[in-house]
Amino acid sequence: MSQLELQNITIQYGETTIISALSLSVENGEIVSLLGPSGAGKTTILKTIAGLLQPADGQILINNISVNHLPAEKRDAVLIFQKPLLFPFLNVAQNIGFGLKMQKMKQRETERKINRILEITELKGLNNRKIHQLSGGQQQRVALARGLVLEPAILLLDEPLSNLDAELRQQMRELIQTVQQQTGTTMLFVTHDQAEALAISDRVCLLLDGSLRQTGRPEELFYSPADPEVARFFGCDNIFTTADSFRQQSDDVQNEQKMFTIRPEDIEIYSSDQQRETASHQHLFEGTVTGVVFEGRLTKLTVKVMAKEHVTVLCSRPAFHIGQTVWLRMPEDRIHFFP
Amino acid sequence: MSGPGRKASLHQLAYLLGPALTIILLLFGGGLLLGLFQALDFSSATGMKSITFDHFRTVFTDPDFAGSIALTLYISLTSTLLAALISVVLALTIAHWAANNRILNFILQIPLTVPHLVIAISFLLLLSPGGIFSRFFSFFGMITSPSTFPLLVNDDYGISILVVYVWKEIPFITFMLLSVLKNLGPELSEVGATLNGSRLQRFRYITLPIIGPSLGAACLIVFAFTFGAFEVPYLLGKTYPVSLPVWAYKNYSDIDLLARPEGIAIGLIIAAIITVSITLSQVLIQFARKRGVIL
Repeated sequence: MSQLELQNITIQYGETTIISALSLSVENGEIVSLLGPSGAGKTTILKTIAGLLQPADGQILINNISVNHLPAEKRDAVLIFQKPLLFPFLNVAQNIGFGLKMQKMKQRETERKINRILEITELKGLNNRKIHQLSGGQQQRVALARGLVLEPAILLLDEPLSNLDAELRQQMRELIQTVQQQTGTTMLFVTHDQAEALAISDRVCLLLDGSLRQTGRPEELFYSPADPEVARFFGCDNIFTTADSFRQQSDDVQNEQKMFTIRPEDIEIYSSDQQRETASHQHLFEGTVTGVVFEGRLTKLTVKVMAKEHVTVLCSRPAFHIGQTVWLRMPEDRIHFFP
Repeated sequence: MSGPGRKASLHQLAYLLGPALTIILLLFGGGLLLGLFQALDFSSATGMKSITFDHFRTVFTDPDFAGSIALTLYISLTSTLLAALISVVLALTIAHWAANNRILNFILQIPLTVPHLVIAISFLLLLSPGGIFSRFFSFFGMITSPSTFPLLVNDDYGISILVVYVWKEIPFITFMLLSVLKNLGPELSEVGATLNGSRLQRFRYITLPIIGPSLGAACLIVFAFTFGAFEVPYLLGKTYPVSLPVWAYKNYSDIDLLARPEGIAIGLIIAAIITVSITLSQVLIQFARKRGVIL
């Protein structure tokens, strides 16, 4: 059953259309990431779902009930903002219990729920801490706990990890996953970080230019992008057509011109004839290295093939230099033709 | 900032403010000290032996004192409360636009720039029984004669005094509140909304705790000013009872020189109340800073 369903949502700021006829659904207990570059309108979508903005058109359903007419406080959706936005005049426990207080929940029940969520979010013992006495990571955990304690139909997370450093981000990401497994909370997670989206989500929705380009499992989007833009978003610049010279060189030249891609890390690269001999001769192309960029775990190589095409290759610990002659092999099973 | 840096900046600050502070201390501090000597009957010839609190005792036991302080408190508390209420509503209403709207800021600043005296005289000319409004209404037959115009100046309830103070103080309090609201933005209220807080609950549990200390500090400053201000109640107030500052002035300028120490004693009582108010306002501002609701 869908906890959240957006049906042809259009959002406008004045005359400008930010989001056009967007539809998506989040199933019960799922973590779905809304992924897109900065300025794509991700936060706007979350604010619209939360009831802080009104859509120009379309329906928002939470628990199969249309909530378009309901104010934010009446919707069963909690938004966790990019900044923790904790109430500076309340301590940790009071911040977490704020929503329960608004619901006029009894003191004993409130305390029970707060204690449980403090434990889940690893904040136990910090009940009476002032907000300014907390680190950035702790503050974001309090913000998460403050939303989770209400057990909403859907928890909307607006890039909650973007203000944290790499190590904290990793810890927080794991915490969100653990909390989700323990509580079964349905989450819509907004991020511009593809690695974050791929790691945390059951499904990913890619938002480009105000519309959803592709929705699916993280592996689907990464390995089987729907179009070249989706492929480029996931760091794959190798977009070719069957008319391209090096593709024509291969055995399976097709009459119909089609676009295809292959991930840079899937391309095999050989530096010598001997190495080349060990590889299959199928789809093997000679080229010249035109660029080497060390990126840490992997090094990005740009190879000019058939004096025309630039192919990006990712490999670890390479011993290549600019101007070197290399051979590239593109395994057939790694080539993805766009639909 | 590191220790030495802070020390250097404090030195720099003292150097920059020194000349102005010296003059203020000499003129105001010296005046207050001389006033205190007079109110305590201190004489350099007899030294400490001559000190007496008789003038203060005379003021406190004067049958007019209770009426005077009641009127002064009525004027200052009522005008402060009315200005605060209107300012809160105004600040919350315009917070969204005020940040970037120069015209709105300009309009709000107008009452700040006009002296109290000018407004008081304007009210006198406009609203007194012989003023422009009464003649206008009489001329058009809306009232039988200018003397039948409702008494809005020198009246029992100090309506015109309250109006002047409220009109003057609203922008001051509003600006203080707007600066707090501007720093925090609308996000906390949005958080409150998604945490099931209704509009009223958000005001009570989020907005009020945020603006509370600044509002309190602004109110105490306004209270201190209206409590000690002389010209408006002097021009627009009734002749009996008079507010404390007017009473102090009358005693000080009395042809009987023996009334002067009592006038000074009243002035010192006013100064003490003002000092407490201002100190409290500073305590509230520090409290707000500690809470992180103002920078």
